[in-house]
Amino acid sequence: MALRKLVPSYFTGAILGAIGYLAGNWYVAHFIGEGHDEAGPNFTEQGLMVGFALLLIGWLIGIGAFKYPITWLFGAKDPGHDEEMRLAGKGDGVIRYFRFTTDHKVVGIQYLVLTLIMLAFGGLGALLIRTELITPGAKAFPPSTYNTVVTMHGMLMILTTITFFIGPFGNFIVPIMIGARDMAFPRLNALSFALLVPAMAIFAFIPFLGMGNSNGTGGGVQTGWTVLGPITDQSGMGATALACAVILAGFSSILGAVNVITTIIAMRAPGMRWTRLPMTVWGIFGAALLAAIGTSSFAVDLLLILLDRLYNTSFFYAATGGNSVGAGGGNAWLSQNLFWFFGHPEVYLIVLPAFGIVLDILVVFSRKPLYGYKMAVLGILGVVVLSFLVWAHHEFTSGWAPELRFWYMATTEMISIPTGFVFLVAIGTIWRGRIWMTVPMLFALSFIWNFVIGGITGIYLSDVPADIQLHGGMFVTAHFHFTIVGGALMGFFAAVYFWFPKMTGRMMDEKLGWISFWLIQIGFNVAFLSMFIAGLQGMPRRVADYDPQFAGPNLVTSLFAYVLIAGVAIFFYNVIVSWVAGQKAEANPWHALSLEWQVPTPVPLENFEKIPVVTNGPYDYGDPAEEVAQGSAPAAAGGQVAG
Amino acid sequence: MRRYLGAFLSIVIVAAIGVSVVLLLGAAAKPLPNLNGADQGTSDTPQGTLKHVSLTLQTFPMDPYEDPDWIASNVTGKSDNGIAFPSAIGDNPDWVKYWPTTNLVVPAHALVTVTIENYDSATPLLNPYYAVPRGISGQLTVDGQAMAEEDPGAVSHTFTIHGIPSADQPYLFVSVPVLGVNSCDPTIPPDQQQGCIPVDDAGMPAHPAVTTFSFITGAPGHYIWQCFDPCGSGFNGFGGPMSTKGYMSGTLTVE
Amino acid sequence: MSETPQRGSVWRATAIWAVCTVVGIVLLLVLGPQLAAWHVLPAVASDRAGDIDQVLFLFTLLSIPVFALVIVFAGYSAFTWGSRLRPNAHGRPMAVSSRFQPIWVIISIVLVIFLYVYGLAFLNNVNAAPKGDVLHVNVTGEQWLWDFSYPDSNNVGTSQLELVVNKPVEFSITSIDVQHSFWIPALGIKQDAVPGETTHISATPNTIGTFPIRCAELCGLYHAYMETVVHVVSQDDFNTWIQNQEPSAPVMTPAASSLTPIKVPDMAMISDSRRAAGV
Repeated sequence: MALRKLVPSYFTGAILGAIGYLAGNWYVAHFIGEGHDEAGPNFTEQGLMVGFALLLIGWLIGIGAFKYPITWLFGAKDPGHDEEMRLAGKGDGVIRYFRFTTDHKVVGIQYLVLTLIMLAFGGLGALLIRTELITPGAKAFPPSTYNTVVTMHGMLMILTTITFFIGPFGNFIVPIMIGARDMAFPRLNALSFALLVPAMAIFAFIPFLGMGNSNGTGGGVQTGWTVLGPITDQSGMGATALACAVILAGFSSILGAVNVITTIIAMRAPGMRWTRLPMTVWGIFGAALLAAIGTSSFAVDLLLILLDRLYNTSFFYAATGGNSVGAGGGNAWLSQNLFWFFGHPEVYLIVLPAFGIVLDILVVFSRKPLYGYKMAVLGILGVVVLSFLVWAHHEFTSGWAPELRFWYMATTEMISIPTGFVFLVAIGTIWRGRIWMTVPMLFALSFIWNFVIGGITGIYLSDVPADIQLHGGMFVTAHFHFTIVGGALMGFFAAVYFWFPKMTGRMMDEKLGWISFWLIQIGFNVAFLSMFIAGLQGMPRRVADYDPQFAGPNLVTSLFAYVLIAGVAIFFYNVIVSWVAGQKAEANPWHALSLEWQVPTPVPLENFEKIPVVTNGPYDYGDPAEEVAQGSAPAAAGGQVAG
Repeated sequence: MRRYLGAFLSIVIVAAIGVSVVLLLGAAAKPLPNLNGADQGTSDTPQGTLKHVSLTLQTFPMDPYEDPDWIASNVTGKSDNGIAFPSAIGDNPDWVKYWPTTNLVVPAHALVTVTIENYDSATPLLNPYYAVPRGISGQLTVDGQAMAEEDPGAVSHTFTIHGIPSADQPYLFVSVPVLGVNSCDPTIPPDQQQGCIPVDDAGMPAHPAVTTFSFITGAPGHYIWQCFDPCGSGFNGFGGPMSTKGYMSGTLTVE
Repeated sequence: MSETPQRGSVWRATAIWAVCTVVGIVLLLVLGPQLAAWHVLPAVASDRAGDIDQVLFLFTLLSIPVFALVIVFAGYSAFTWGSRLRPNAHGRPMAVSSRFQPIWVIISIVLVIFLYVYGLAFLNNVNAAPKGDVLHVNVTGEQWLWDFSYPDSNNVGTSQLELVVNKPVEFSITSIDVQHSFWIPALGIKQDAVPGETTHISATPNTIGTFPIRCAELCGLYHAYMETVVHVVSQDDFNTWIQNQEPSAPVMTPAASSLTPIKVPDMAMISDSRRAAGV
């Protein structure tokens, strides 16, 4: 009976996916291509491609994603409410987390677990990189392995960070925050997660395509996460797996973003005006806009790369000579533009939800209304608009359109103005607050420190003459780690500590939180401030080996990177141990006012017994007597009931 | 108390995972013996009379220990490089490699004569730049015959020394093509083959193509050398052995 | 509304900010000139590198008060009003002042415009074509080395760059395989080598010496070792040196025998086919 419940589930999906991959490979090895005997059964380009396609189809069949569309094609009626509830996992217990489940809270938890796993593997990549660079001489691994590790670390972390707000919190928290029973498109929601899983499975092929010494078959991926056309065209077979995985993850991201946008526009409860949305919703809304528009450009770039690699087209094979392969006549700048048109909005897509979440957390723990709501919203929307106008600042030294450099310099420096709004709002919010120093508050405050450093060094890089010197060096690496690790990842940690009680019903351990916070913050800052010095000295990025004159800063960076990783290890331990045996949480442990805290924990299916009517904003702190929770959720004691 | 123990254990576990992955991925990066230049007295060069040393290296397409006949006739007693032949090679016996080691040590301000006995056949150079010897003193000879440049299609490997530019050491750049052996194809009957070198059952040619050249070292320094011919594995031939020390990549210490 | 008096004041925070700013600026003025000597900044060996150091100095100078403003006010709040226990009172709502926000906006716009105009002035230098007696150097990036040739001197080819002190040099940079980035930190120049395209950058070296050249764009396996040196020498030394060089070997011209471009086999078959054939 229990087994019966496992069909369909992610287990059957995994089994059919594996069968699909093997079948595709076997077919190619026996019926297509000539090189199959020599290269081994699994590792030909065609074998990989056909295998990946069948892996995806097998997975989707196995999890039952096709059941509804196919029955609908054959004339079945639209499912009624009971059927929808069954699909949302009603009465299924734990098994619903391992199924194609439409409940947004289940999808949110699935995303949270997957992004945490991705984060752990990306962090392992960071550990390997810093181990290689601890001394000059490339002593830990050879350059091909190092380059592959760098590529995987970069790409995996990017996929993690673009997912880790929209995925877990956009799905779990946002619908409750705006007073909705579910996302606008529950099946699309389940599908967007279900696509990310096979994307990660395909990504996991890369290390087996020629990264280590014991397996030289593929030649690794020597591209870095920027996957510039010419180098990716001639890179090892891992690049094919990388392109397939990222295209799939891109689809997942676009579907998720479309769903979040629609939900926020269409599913707000009565009275939840745009001016009453919590900042978290605004941040995730901005990020979803960026994801929906920008990601397609990257998918196009990777698709052209796949065509170059598999069908000998010549989009990016720009030259004939040297080690270049292919027909020539393509253009390397095309790839760079396609990539950065996604790549720059993408960093704001990572950090915008962090802006919103950090502002929300600052409000809750300062017990004070947000200072300048309109300014904060304007800041976020300003960043959304400007971020599509700045991408070519990554090409100041590329030689592409040097006459446009003045323009991209202007837009890039302009983006510091809306970002400045957010800082003003943050400081105005905590100023004279009754500040409650909890772990989420610590992470939110550290966001301010780190992101100011990341932002200011960004202005150095926006200036063309300075960028000519600093571009492609460790200064850039340190800068974007300050924005993405110091900004977004700190925001993520804050969000996990903050909403963990709502999502899991248990509190995270506070003592461990403090220890891990200080290890992370000190390790991170010393490591990357010292990397700025290596960058100023003239150390290029992504090098396996370096001039001994850079040894000092690199040693410091490596040692403190270990401290940072120790802090993150404690964070993971804290998550696991608290989830299993943490202290039970009340419905509203932080005494916050926004809607998601007014529903009981665990949040019931469909969230609200009765859709609340919202009569006030989420930030009406001020006087205890007048403290007004937003909306009129059924279980909200003290919530002002209206309508 | 238990939670601190758990936190500590989680750090230990992460460290253990890190160490084991580093060891797994860097398995071939085990310490290699040094090959010191053999003293050849002094020699007259354009830069005056300098100390003269020699290095002899072999390149193999696979582990010669897979071929007992070859060992019996060639390896026994052959240790004129100052280090004995290793009794077995690396974790990847089918990887192409420089032998007996790739850690080379030569004196500063000296003429270094390198002899490379190549048992590998040709892999066409992708970049013909490397078909021309560069940075050498005197001439490149192959089997005693002087060569100004080689046919990129007949080259098997290159021996390319790179400087790591730093204030502490002079820059050194030497690049030499290593001609491949024209070995016979064992699938073609012997009477239809002409001018090729017969191979034994394991695929080892009867005698190598011998490339000899010299270069002059400056002040002490630490350099990297590699083969730039895509003779390895992978999509473009630059995988596996190409970047792995002990195979097609190594260090040159000038002291 | 219970009006509980709170410790701390905006003036105290402002005073701390002023002290931090002054200390920061003094530190910058004292330490700044030492940075090159401590190798925190690369050697300055051209007009361009001097410009860049000025830009870095000015940006650092301006960011000290901005950084201090955000950090001092945020930190002051956290330390003055922070508590490990849940506060039982609420903070007083702060009305959005009708003056303060516009002031913040205007100051940030003025700062941005100032930085932009300042940057434009230097951008003009970057874009300006070199004048007078210019040394032309063709640079070819290839996996994984830099190849130089001198079109004014019979296309002499070399793997180490020689430049003349105080003579403008214009580099014409290309690549024959993938993207590289030609970077001489001491001259303050960086320009990508793009396959199929030629890009240009110029500088005037002003110090005799030897400086590193690096690749700043991940270009594959030995990217880390794609390095060489530039020797900046006097005109006389340069003349002697270039006369002793041989014209570039004709390796790049496909006309030479047996140098026809190599047809790359079907991509799926490249992997291991050579090795497996026992070659």
